[in-house]
Amino acid sequence: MKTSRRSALKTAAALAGVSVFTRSKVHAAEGGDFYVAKNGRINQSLVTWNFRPLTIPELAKLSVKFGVKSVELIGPEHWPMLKELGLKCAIAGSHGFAKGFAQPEQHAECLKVLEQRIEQCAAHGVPAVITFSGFRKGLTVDDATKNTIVGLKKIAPFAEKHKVTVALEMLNSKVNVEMKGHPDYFCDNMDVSVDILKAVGSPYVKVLFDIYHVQIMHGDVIARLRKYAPYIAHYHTAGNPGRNEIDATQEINYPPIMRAIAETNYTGYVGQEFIPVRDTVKSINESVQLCDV
Amino acid sequence: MTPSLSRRSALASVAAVTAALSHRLSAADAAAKTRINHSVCKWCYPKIPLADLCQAAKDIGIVSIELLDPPDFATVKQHKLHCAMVSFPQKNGIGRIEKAFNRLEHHDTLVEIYTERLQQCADAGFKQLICFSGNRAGLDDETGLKNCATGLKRILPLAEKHGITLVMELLNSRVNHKDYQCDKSAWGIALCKAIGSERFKLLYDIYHMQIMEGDVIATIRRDHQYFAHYHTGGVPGRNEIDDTQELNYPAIMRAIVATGYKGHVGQEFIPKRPDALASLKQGVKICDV
Repeated sequence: MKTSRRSALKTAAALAGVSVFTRSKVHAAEGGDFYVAKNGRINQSLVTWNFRPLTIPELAKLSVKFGVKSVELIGPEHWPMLKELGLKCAIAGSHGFAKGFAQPEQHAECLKVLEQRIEQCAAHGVPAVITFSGFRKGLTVDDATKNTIVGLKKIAPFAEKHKVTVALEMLNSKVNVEMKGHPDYFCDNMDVSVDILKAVGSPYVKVLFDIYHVQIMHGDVIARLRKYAPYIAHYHTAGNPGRNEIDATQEINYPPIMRAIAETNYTGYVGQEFIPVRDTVKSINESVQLCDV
Repeated sequence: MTPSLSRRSALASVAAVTAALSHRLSAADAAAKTRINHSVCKWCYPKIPLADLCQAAKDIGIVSIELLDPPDFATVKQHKLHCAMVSFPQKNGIGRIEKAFNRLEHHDTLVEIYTERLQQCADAGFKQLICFSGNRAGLDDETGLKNCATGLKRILPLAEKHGITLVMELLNSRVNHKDYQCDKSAWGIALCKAIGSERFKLLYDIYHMQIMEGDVIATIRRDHQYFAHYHTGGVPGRNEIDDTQELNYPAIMRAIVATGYKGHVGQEFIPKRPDALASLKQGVKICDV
């Protein structure tokens, strides 16, 4: 009854050319009415740090409930639990963003973490692992670029051998608020990031296109993701400004961006990485619906 | 008072209230909320005669047709519409987007044509006049800024006298206007500071700035005191501003309202669908927050 009313409303809204989202209330709480991703054009995933205090097992259960296929940026200790629930880990966590390949003296440490994680990924069918440039610390862009290329070239053959993609994340360096921006982070420019990938020249070293960070640093999101599609390993979401809910309260219009991603024949995942300011479960569900184009 | 009279007057007042109410309802349906003053750029509707565009605009709730040259002023005035942004004057190509204030050799011509145009604006009662930086053509940003300030300062006393604001447009140089110098808000703001007059500000074109720098709402919140006017357009493509493109215009409009902005928002998208006026109506509705 409820379902048929919802779907009728949805059809009517679709015919009228308006978003069903502003019209129908989603009660995602226990037993209520909620949205289940069904279109299959975008594989969705949940990042976990931003949805605290929800635990990783709780987020995994929500994923199953909402039609989300992956829980990501978590370590191997959680992967058996995901597998039991029929979920994937779209991208594994590794070293943190404060260290990375821009700094030669950090190469050994990052390589060690990545190699171990790549082996674990290969053993568990996890397709990708995250990596970072770390901070610039006074280096010129040219020097930091060279260092990053040298470092990524060291991991590339190992990634290729295990068929696990290393995804370099571009972050914004403008917003000086904890976990909303990272001043002095080197890899803050998508064009430079792709230049680095081109120089590395491996199909298993790509970029993590975080839509929130790209919008802060550059804008022109759809044109960029179309242009750089062959270099993109993974996507993240969040509303701008604020890194909160991805709905009409902020400037990024997510559904057309998701359609543009699908049109690039992207077969990877889109990770929800916003920090909810409203009811967390309800916001997760609303975001799943917005991205299920 | 006889019963019949009292009934007559009661009926009359009901009718009056009904009439007033229905008038207000249709006005509300058309213009709606007035938190945003809606304007439209004439050039986006080349197939529609100006008088027809004026009538359509009024029906939609638009109060201004903009980027008009003086020969069009009378038509908009006949329709009791405003022109929120007057188009640029030009002579021998000088004054246009590509050739303007960043070159010293253009300044004499620019002073001449802007002096005339300022007078025309003053006569018509229009308060904002657009201007451009010109293309870089090898000129570095610092010199370009200095040159713009030098040229604009020559006409600002007249603008100040008339209470007219010269508004330099921020345009994208990646897709539509390759090599245009005023292509970043930071550069435009530095020029505002160098000039230091309330009668010189920027046109923050949301479409162009989304292409050049993104972070639209944060920029508007931080720098709105330098923005005298706003334009719209869908990204990518500069078409309808609806769900076919990446910007969430209602949220941006709410951010503009929250800055206390009292000016106009000009719809400057190029309708892609066959019914251009239906697209315009939709654009206004999207921005009517």
